[in-house]
Amino acid sequence: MVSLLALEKLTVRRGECPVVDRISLSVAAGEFVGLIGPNGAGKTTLMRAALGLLPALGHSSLAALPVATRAHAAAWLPQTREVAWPVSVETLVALGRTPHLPATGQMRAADHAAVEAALKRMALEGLRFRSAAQLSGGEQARVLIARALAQQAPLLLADEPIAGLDPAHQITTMEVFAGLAAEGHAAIVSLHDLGLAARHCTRLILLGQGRLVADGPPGDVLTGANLAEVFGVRAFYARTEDGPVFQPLEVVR
Amino acid sequence: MLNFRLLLVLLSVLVAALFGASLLIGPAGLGVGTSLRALLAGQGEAAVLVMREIRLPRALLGVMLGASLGLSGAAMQGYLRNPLAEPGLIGVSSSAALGAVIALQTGLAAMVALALPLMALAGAVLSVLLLLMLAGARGASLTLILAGIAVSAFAGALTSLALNLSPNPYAAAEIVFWMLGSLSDRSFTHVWLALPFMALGWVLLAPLGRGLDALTLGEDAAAALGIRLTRLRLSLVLGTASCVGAGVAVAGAVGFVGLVVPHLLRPAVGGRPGRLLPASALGGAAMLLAADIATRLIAPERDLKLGVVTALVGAPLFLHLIYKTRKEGMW
Amino acid sequence: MSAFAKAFRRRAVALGVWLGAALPVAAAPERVVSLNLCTDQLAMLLAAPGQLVSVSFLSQRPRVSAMADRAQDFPANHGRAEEVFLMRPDLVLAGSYTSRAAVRMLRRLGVEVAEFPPERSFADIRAHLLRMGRLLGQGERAKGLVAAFDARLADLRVTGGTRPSVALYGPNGYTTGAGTLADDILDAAGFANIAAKAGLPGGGTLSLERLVMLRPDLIVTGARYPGASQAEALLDHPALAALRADLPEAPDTGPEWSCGTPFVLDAVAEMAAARAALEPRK
Repeated sequence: MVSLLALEKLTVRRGECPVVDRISLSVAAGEFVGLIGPNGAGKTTLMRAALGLLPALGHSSLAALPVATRAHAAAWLPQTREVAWPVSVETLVALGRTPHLPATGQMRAADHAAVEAALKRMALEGLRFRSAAQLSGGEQARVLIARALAQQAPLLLADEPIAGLDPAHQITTMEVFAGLAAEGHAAIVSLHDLGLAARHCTRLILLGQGRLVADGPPGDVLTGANLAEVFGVRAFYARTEDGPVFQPLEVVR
Repeated sequence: MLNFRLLLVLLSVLVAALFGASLLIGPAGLGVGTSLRALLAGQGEAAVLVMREIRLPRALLGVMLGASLGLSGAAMQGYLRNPLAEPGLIGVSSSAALGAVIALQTGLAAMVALALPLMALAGAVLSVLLLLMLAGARGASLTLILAGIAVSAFAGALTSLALNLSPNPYAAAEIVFWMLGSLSDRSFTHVWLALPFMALGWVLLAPLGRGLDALTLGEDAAAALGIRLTRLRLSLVLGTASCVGAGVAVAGAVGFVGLVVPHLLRPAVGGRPGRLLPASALGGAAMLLAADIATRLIAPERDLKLGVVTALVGAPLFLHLIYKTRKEGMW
Repeated sequence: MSAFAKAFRRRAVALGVWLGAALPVAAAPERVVSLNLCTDQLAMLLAAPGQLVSVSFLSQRPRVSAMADRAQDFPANHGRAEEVFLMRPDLVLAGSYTSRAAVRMLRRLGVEVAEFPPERSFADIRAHLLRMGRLLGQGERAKGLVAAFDARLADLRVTGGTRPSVALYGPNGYTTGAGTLADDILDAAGFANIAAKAGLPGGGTLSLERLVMLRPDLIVTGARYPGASQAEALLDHPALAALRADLPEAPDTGPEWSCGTPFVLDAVAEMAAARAALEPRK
């Protein structure tokens, strides 16, 4: 399998304190990786460092690439949903094509096709001429996901992309990421909804205080011991006919 | 949203028309025929001197200065993702004026002509760097405006000090020129002095469109889209400083052009910061020419300052923008 | 001293000042301080040795003062009430537009102040010379100066012949019109001031365009001050340079143009010479 991301003892320090502590992992095509962990565990920092957006020690295959090449290798969807100007939805999604455009900035047939596909995938065709400034929070989140999809990079890193979406859109969005993985891309998505993570991700990476605590299929990661140690909660977890079901029950600390 | 090419064509026609009007309007009261003949043919007559040495450089400077201010305003707003970022309001112009006044009053400009635009440019660079440092990468409105007020006030005070200490009795009266700007009686000397620096600024700022577009999504997303932010920032700082510095060095600090023009044209380009760059450059040229014509029509014998006219249009708009920004909770 | 007594004394002094101004001066003042460039020069011309205590700092500057050398012999003042009062003057000379706050303060303190408006004509020069003579108790000397002034003026005055046009073009494009000393100087030297033709009989801002179109026979500008100013930068405009390239060299308006003293005749002489140089070209 093609490795799309390889980290070797990646470490980010804030002052003396390591925020991301000697993390090594690799992600291959076809994987939908859920990055989980409590607040402040280092999820965002890990992804940004892996992309080379933060200075870090150790090695990241993405950060080692030149900036322009990296944009072809990975797309990044930050947590802050920033849309500074009232551009149309279609224009915003088309920004995902930035790395593919020639110096003139002219969109070509492949670019238009990619934008169309992304709009369709996120069911945004009806909003294409709307100003991004007039969208609801959830709509804006979906538009920004479509923007990342339009980039058509083999690897997508997304920081809490489903936060603030209604249940239906949370599920469809998770299905979009799973679909990407099934097509031979890969996605690394940080999220707090462990239930959705358990149901849709092919693999979970659990971070605690900057260190990698567990890495594997959801069932192997979401063990009672891990949950108690890292999250401080007890949870219900079962494989049912409808797939895995996960529900946190109580705080154990 | 207008077709982008059509918009640029319309703006170009407007600039050309105002350029023509600027050439034809003046206290000498020459007829249209006489003016054009004097401009294109003829030797040594008084009308030729008026057209070629007085009105032509003034109109050219109007285009150059307006385009520079419009372009740098659009670029700064795009970079800071803030519609209030304007070279005049955030103190870049007044810092450039300080540089220019220092060059003039120390006699540096008399020794080396280039010292004038260079010192103005240096003043502008310093203030832009200071602002980026204070306001941060994403210029939060409040910080940006407060930092701008502080920089403006400080540069303005030092400018006044330099002019008050000048041995020249006229210098102190010219604080108003440096604060409001004027194109009256500018000559080709000024055109040639400013043009290389402005051109450098245009060359640096014009290609930033793609990066500014991507910055709509924030710094992180733009960086991940392959935009080299360090290079973009450097081009922006040097480009804005060259444009504003050269403009201020020859015509004083004309405010509000970089605020009004991008604001008016933003809907016409669908909010895209990249497309706003050429549109704003043309729009800025049109606004400045119109304002300069207005100064000649309103008070022909009084040397009404350019900044008075642009502020009359710009200041109410500025208040409106602050009101709107506050309502949208950007503070 | 009680407050009442103080107030009374001030009134009494003020009364004395009023009487002194109204009646012929019995005794000449012994400590005279002048605050104004023009009164400085009149006083220096007329005062007896030791009578003039201080002149304004401007008088010591050759760029603006026709008597800069003489002025070096006097301590300079900057027209501020405190420094002047401490010189214990019995007469202060001031211009009617300069150092206003100081003049008001000095009057409140009971110092006699005589004000001179700016001279606008040769007639003003005569009147001011005579008035200054009376104030300083040097009436005879003043009459002598007036007679000498009239004699030299009659000698210099150019009459008849064509009157070439001249533009006085100052910083900011300011041109001087009728009712000014400069206009009298030009007239005496046989010139026609272009301000009238430009529709600015009283003077005002003349745009460079209009100046170029009017094509005067001579353009007279001021000598440049040190330091830079936009106002003076206008005089470097290429259009003005091109216009002047066709015209003969003209004298600058020097310090003798700025005050109504007999030195204006030096300016008349200079301008008359410039006019004579124009003749063969006509």
